[in-house]
This record gives sequence, C-alpha cells and structure tokens, in this order.
Amino acid sequence: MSLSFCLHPLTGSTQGRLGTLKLSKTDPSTDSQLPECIETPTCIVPTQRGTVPHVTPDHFNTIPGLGAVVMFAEHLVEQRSHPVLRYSNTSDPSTGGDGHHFFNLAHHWLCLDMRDPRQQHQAAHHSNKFYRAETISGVKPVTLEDYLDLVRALQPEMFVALADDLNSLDETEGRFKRSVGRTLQWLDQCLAQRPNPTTGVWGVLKGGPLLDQRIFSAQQTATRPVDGFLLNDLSLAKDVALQQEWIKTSVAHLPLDKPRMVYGMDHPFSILDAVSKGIDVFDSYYAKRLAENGQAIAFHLDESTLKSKSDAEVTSASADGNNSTKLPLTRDLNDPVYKADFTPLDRMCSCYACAHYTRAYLHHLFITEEMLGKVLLMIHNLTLFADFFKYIRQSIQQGTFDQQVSRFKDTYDSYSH
Amino acid sequence: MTRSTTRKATSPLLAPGKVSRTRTMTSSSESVPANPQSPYRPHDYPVVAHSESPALRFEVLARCSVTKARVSKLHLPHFTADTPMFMPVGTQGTMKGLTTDQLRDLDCHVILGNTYHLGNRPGQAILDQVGGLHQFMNWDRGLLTDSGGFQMVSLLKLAQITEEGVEFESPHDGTMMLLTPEKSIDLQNSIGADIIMQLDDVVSSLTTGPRVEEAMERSVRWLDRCIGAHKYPERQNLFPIIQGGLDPALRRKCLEMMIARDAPGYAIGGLSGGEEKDTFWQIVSLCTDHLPEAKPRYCMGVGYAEDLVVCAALGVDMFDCVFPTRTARFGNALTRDGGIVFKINRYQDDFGPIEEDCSCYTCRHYTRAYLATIVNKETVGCHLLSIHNIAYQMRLMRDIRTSIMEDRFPEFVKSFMKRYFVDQGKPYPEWVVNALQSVNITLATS
Repeated sequence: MSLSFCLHPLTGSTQGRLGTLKLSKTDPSTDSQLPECIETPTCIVPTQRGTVPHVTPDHFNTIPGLGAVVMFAEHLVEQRSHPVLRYSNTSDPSTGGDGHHFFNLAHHWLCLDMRDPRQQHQAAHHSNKFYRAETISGVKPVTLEDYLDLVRALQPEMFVALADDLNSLDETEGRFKRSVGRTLQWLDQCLAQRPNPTTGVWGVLKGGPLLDQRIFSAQQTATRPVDGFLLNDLSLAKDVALQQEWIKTSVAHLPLDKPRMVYGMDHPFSILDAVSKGIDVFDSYYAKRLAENGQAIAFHLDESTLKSKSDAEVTSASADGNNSTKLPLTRDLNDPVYKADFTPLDRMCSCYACAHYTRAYLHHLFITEEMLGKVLLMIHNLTLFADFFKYIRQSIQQGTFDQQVSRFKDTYDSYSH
Repeated sequence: MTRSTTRKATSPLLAPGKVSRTRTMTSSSESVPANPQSPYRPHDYPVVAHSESPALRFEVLARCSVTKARVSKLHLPHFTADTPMFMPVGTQGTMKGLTTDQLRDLDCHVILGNTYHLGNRPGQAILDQVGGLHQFMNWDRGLLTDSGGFQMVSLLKLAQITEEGVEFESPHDGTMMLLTPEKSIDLQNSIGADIIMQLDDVVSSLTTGPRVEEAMERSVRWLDRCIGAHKYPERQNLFPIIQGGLDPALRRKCLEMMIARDAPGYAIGGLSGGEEKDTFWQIVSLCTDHLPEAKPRYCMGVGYAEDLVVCAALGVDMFDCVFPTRTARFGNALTRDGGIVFKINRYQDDFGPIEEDCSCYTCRHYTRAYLATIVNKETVGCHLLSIHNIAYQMRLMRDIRTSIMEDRFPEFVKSFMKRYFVDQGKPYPEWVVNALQSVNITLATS
C-alpha cells in the first residue's frame, strides 16, 4: 500500500468520518509542489482530456482546498497513441516528465481512471482481454497493458483499477455477476502489475442492483491490498434514495481504515447523507455542470453563514410573499433579475470571480454566450464546493455535523438547483 | 497643413523619413501650458515631439532615422500606453474567455469594445448605472470603442445611410432604427472609453465614383456633429476617421478638413476591405505624411504581423484586429515562422512549446503535442491559444518599439521579414517590398 489513510478519532454522535490521505513516500529530492496530504471528506476534480474544464491552471491553482484531480483514460485513447505515452521517453531531459508536467497540473495529486462516469455510454461489451472505451472517435479496445502504460506515463499518485463497467440497469443478472468477477480479476492484475508500488490503487465495487453481489464485491475487494474503494455505478440507481441504499450496502462490508470514494453525487443533500454513511471522497462534476448552465452555487455550510441566512434572508423571503421560506441552493445567472445587480456573486465568497466581477456582468456574459461566463462560474463554483467540504470537516471535528446537516436542509430548498 | 510636404503616394523613391522630420516643428517640445486635467505625469525621458489635449498627452520619444516609424507614449485617462501598439478586440466587454488579470499579464495596454454590440447588450442604461465599461468588465487600463457604424453596414443587410444617420432594421424586433452621429457619441459617452470614434459614412474600399466623395464629405459633417454632441472631452478622446476611399485627392481633402478640427488623434479608415495591398499601403503612407507628427495615428482593422511591421514603418501608432483571437478559436497559433494549424494527429511527437523563446503562459507550460489534443475540443485549448496569440502580437510590438528606440528598426524589419517569408520558402509579397522601399528599406530578394 502506498497511500496512507489515517482516520481521526470519531467524535460525539457524528456519523461522518474525518481522515487524512497522505502520500506514504514523497521523494525528498524533488521540489514537489504537491500537497503533502489531503483532508477528508473532500472532492476530487474531474478533468476532460487532461484539463480542468474551462479554467486555465493559473486560476485553478489559486482555488484553495482542492487537493486532487482525476483523469480519464477514455479521453486519452481518443487518438491512436496519446503523446503523453512518449513524453517521459523524450531524450531531451528538459521535456522528460510525468503527467503533472505534461498536463500542467503540478499542484494537485493526479488520479487516473478508465471511464468518465459522466459521459453518456452505450453498451458495455468488455471482454477479458479488452475494455471497450467509448470516445468521440468511436469505440477503442483497451487492454490492461494499455491502461497500465498510461499509469506508467502519467506517474499519478493513485489510479483506479480497471473495472468491468456496466452502463445500464437492463443488463442481465448474469452480466452483473460477471462484472463483479472480472472487476476483481482486473484488480488483482492491476495490483500485481502496477508500474510503481508506491502508486495508490483504488478498487472498484460492483454489483449493480443485486444486493448479494454488492456485498460479495465489497467483501472480496476488502481482502485485497487496495488503498481505497470506489463506487462508480451510482448513476445507475434510479433515484437518490436507491443511491444511498447502495452506498449503505457496499460500505457496510468495508474496513474502516481505508478511504471510500463515490462518483455521481449531484446534490449537496445527497453528499451530506453519503458523508454520514462513511464516504470520504466525492467528485466535483456538480460544480462544473452548474457552471455550464449559468448557475452559481449559493449554499454555505458554515455555522455563521447558515445562522445569518436563516435569520435575515429567510424571513425577508417570506415577507416578500414567497411561498417557500427556504433559500435556493443556486443562483441562475441567466435570470434577467440580475441585469442591473452590481453586487458580487456572493458576499460570503472570496473567489476571484466574486472579488472582481458583478452579477450583472456575469448575467451579461451568459446572455451573450461569452466563454468567460463559464470560466468565472467554474472558479466560483469550485471555490464554494471546496468550502462546502471544508465546513463538513470542520463540523465533524467540532462534533456538530448532524446539527449542521439538519440546519442546512432546513435552510435550503432541496429542489432549487 | 502645408501641401509642400506632401509626397505623391505613387513615388516610393522619395525619402519620406526626411520629409516627416521637417514636419516636427508642428510640435516642438517646449512650453505647452500645464493642463490640470492632463493624464500626463512627470518623467525623465527625452521627448522629441508632443501634443496635449484635455484627455490625452502624446509624446514621441524616438524616431527611426530611416523610416517614418516612431515610438511614443500615449497618456490616456486610464493608462499610459506605449506605441506602436496592438489593441486586441473584446467585442462584448470580454476578451474571448480571458480574465482581465490575464490581459494585464499579457501586457495589453488598450483593448477595444464594439459600441453596436455593447449598445444592444448590456445596453446603455446598464452602462450608465454602473458607470461605464471599465467598471462593468473590471478593466482598469485603456479602452477604445468604435462608432457602431461599421457593424451596421457589415452585419445588417438593410442598412441605409442618409444625411441624418445610418438607418437599420433592429435584429431583435425588426423595427427600423436610426444611428446618428449624436446617438453614437451618446452611447460611447455611456461606455466611457478613453478613445472614442466618430460615426463615419462607411463605403466599401472597392466602391468608386461619386459615392466615395459623398461619403468623405458626409464623414466630415458627421465629425462636426460628433464633436458637438461629445459630452466628456475632458476624459474621452474623440478621434476623427480619415476617409476618401482609394483616391489620393479625396484623402488629402479629407485630411485637410479633419486636421483643421484639431482632434487629439486620428484614425485612418476605409481600408482593409479587400483593396489591393499596394493601394492600401500607399493610402496609409499618404495619411501619415499629412497627419500631425505629434498626434497618434490609428490604422483600423490591421492585425497581420507583416501589415503591423509595414504600417509601423509608415508611421502608424495604433492597430486593432480580431484576427489573433479569432484565429485562435479556429485552432491556429501565430509564430514568427508563420502560423501553426493545430489538428488532431498533428505535432504528436512535438514536445516543444508553440514558440521556442516565447515567454507567454502557454509556451512556458504546454507542449505542441498536448495542445493538439485539446484545441477545438476544450475551451481551455482556445484560451491557451488566445493567450499565446495575444502575447505574440504584444511581443512583436515590443520588438518594434525597442528596435526603434535603439535605432535599428530597419535591421529588425529585414530579419523579421526574412524569417517570416524567405525562411519559410515564400517570396516577399510585392507590396511589402514596395512599401518598405518607400521608406528606404530594401528587402534583398535572392
């Protein structure tokens, strides 16, 4: 094992876990700009083709509290042979380097995964030999060796073991079972053949709608020397309640001392529920989806903001004759109500966008479909999303997580996003 | 204006560098009364000519001893710009995905906004409420706006020009609307740019006959209406636009009338519309010969590298063009060896930057190989190319300025052109050879 995960002593009645992910071996010779450790619960930032969507790294690097990004091999096999595979072999030592250099993401941990969970996928005809990756240039058969070649080239801090991903609930029971078995088989191969033993490996939990298979998958994966567990099939669940059910089933059979990551939580309420079920790492796709639609995150979990919001704004909202006394989770910048609103996006936020631009300007950018709108909202949304996790950690630390969650749910309108 | 200094545009063998020097007496550097509103700040560099207007001070610091090129400081209400300069175009109050911090890092001194677009969105009322475009878009340096007339004519099919103004069909509700000189200035006053442009009667540079003269004469009348309507001459500089098509006589007539209005600076308009390049440079050169030495000259819509170098040699100070950012959106990067087209499966093994010695953010951090995998796919790819392309333009202008200051501009021009054309296996364009010859630079054709 190569990542260390340290669970802080559980406090009070709080169900959430507070932990620290740490690189077990940092090379003392390098002038590494990577964070030494990442506090959990946290979020990991999904990239597209190796880049954080919309935001160039000069701005991305200024967003506090984001420790890691995840890259998807599916994007990198779009073309026959991605240049990153040859980058580390270049004879010129000044250009030789790893994924951090190649993708200009020197300040964040890299995680490599195969499938972008947020991309639309069709069928999943993986075989023992080939993972069939769906790209914009067609289906590409990828072998385990191909995948590990990417691991070798990127030298990420951690990667997700290849998994037999299914993309539809309509698959047969037999197929779901085979998926569990093949995923374990690929996991064992990944663990045995990983190019660098200090690279962390996340094992993927499968089982789909079959509870016994979910349990079996979790139990079996837990016997392997993995560094963490990933649930990447939650988008198959029909609703939020079922997602939480699946999480509960899988997590019940995992050891306490290793981190658990999920993809696909797209609502702060669901995230809070999943935290209380023992999930440590989430993806930040939600922040990006909102940004692309012109929606700014407007929710805060910290105590003082929640208090002032519930005291002031909620009452004023009801005074306005608004039926709902709850606050919206997001702010839609396309709304003409912001046309002449020269206040910052969010008074509580200190991000680059809030420090320099107004709601009226952002409204203008979205109305005119200018690219800067998405850039600025991405900065803002990632900042507040990272903050959200900071306050999750803080409230777990202070033993007030449960109260904060119920206060949060009382304050914000669940459907307003 | 004295006709005696006028060169015939068609006689490139005259030495215009000397001609233009004889004209510097229009602006000797002595005792101009101090203006309390002036953006001018004390300095310790020598000034060879200068002019002062309520919202602008222009100081020529150095002149090329061979060509008509010069280096100047343009003190504007929001910023002191170095010229010759290139001004990137941010049509709707934003520069194609770049933040204003990134524009500052790129050393942009002045950027453009388009009055027609800004008048539509966010609209005049919003701009009035917020106190102008600087505030609205968080830009603390120089801004320049056009009159809106060009967009009317180029974007709207049904535009009709009368003495009153430009009549056009609203693209929003189909009603007929009228852009008058007064309305254009009113809008530009609300936008609040450091430099604003008169509404001119735009005709295609390919138009011939009496319409060209009519447009020129009308542009002068509209200039007077613009001057009359301008509410803030103490903080916004209204530039006339020299018209007259491709007819040297009309151009001279226009120059004479507009120079008589004693504007803070002048634009050369009605070009870059598909005319012969040899005609283009001759008209530019004719205008720079006549325009006051100590006032800034702005050549509208020019942005190709070779055009910038040639026009700087002809004595132009300011340029704007959508080209660097637009071409970035199509996956093209600018280099001193010519353009690079990024396409999938190209530059697969090229782990160098776009340009070896470019210090822009993109070149410091990205390989061509990686850029090729994201341009045209990720908006970040577009941002990174825009950053490089603007940096390329800015460096070109810096190189021009430095070489003029060190009086080695002709050498710079020759090595630039050799690398840009000959080293790429291309012959020098004939018009470039002719234009440079007119200012005493001979490009050696092998």
